[in-house]
Amino acid sequence: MATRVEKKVLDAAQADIPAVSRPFAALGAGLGVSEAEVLKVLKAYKKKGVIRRIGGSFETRKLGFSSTLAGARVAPARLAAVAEEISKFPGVTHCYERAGEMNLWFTVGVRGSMAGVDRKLASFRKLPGVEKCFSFPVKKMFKIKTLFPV
Amino acid sequence: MTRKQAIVRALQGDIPLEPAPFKKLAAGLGLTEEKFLGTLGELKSRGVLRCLRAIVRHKRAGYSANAMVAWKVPGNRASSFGKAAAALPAISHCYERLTRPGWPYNLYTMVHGRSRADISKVVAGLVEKTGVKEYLVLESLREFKKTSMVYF
Repeated sequence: MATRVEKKVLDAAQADIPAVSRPFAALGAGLGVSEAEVLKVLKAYKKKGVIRRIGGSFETRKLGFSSTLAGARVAPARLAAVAEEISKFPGVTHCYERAGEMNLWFTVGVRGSMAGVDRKLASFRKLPGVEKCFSFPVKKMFKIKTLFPV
Repeated sequence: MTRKQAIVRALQGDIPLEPAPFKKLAAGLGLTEEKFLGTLGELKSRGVLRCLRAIVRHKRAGYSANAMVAWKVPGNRASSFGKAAAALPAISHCYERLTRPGWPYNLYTMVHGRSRADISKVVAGLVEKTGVKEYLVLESLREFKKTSMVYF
């Protein structure tokens, strides 16, 4: 179980780490926790694997990248092999088996226009076992805020 | 590579867990800390950098039930539905996306909870609030890959 201090630090660090010279001191100042204590908590939870990464979260589009969410129907016997093949592409950052008719869902991002994403998807559609694969690009974003209170 | 690209590259991975992490990252790029922070501030104000933060593996933080819920929302109600969904803490992502022949679902929400019952409760609440009754709960069964984008 996380202590009260750990909880405060982890919740705040998931929201926003200030972009200043001493970011962990600044984060701690708002919580009444010392810089050393903030660093200790973050290191411990990183080591435990609860924290995957501490770094920048970027707006993909503003960096000149295009991306989409793809949903595919893959023959169950081929699902793992197809997922592994698709996951080899660095621009695929998330890939999940999900319940339902469309059983494989993944994100694809490439530098440049959506045409590059579509070309990549066209190559995935040719993998044996892929019965259909749709691209569902974003029309409007309403929320991106991953914060899991510990 | 431009300075901005170099800074994005430095921040797309892990920042060092030490008192002055940007000083160290700047030194690695042959920049002063001041220049590094200046560009960082610019990226942030232009919305290129959303924020610096800790990314938690939600399953390890106790959120073992996760589902993507795809909703069929009439076009003229997409915006009000999106806002209602975005207001819920259990929903981390909400997007309106294009539909495809045979796939009429246009709103997507990522729902997280400590149990399946948590997910059902969130979904039922949204149904009641919005009146949207056609949806699919696409529970995640297996994670093949989850990482952060490498840009440069």
